[in-house]
Amino acid sequence: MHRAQASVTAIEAGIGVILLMSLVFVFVLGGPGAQNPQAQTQLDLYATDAATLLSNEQPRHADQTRLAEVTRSQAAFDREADALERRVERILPPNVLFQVETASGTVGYPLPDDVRTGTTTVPTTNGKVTFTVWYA
Amino acid sequence: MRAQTELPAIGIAFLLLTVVVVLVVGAANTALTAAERPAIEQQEAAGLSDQLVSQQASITSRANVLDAAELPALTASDLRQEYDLSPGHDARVRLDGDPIAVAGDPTGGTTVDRLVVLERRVERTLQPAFTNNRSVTLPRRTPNATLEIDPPAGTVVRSVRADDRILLRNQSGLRGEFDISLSRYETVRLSFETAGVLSTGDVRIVYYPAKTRKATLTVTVDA
Repeated sequence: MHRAQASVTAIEAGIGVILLMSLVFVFVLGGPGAQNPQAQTQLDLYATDAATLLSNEQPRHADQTRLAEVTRSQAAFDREADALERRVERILPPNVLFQVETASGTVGYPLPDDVRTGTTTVPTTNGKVTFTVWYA
Repeated sequence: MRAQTELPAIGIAFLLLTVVVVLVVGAANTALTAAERPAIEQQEAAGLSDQLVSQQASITSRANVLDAAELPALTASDLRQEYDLSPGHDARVRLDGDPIAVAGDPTGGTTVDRLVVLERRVERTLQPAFTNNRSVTLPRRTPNATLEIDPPAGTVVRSVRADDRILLRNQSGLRGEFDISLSRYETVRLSFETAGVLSTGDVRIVYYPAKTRKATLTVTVDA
């Protein structure tokens, strides 16, 4: 009496196919990771452009540029902070929020915790200024 | 009884495995090349836009400040040669949505926005009254100016100074039209050294201040 017997080779081939198919699905579905690298680059460019425009702008009263004027002293910062905030708001597109950090203080919106940001730091004659931008 | 496989079973199993391996490698290759293209396009778009807004570019007068007079002269060959667009890639440059230059035929591709300021020069004329003194401060910064000096019969204009720097000097009298270059970083005070009286209309100053507005430069690259 013959008993049906599963062919071991077929089982091994089946396991091999399953393993290879799992590899295929990794490639087809895509691995986890940077979902939108373009947004990161664009945010970094926004920050760099805002910093460049401000660091080459004429100051409102004194010093070489607007950024140097704001960072000159605490009193200068307190006086110019509002104007700086309005200026950065005008430069950036409407859906982008920002925060500008200087040694004397910070202007802009509060930085949320879990959001993708673009950032740049510019040196001025009176210290460093850091621009952080993110999509609203 | 020993377990024993049969030749046709092995043959079919090998065939199945080979087909699957070929499919897997093909799918992996396609996925990798498809994933590479947007990254290359994005890098190229960011690099091209960096060069277009840099200080050394011919369309800018300062970093991120575009010169409205030079901007319409941007052509596709400029993009390929001066701004280093790769030969196999196409690009389109737009300012606030209006196309400025197109190299090739970009369809789709990756887009990058740059924040810029568009600067154009306007012409303003000033005829100083010279009521109290023989000097006038130009109200706006200007890199150059044109002076028309036409003093009355008994007056001789000996020299013209800009903030203590002598621009024009002629002991027997200046008369006519002169182009002078000034500092673009500060407003200037022009002083006229004369023998005799000067009044309104004797000196006409044409200067060229800048008007700026903010704009967005959009660069699209298709690999």
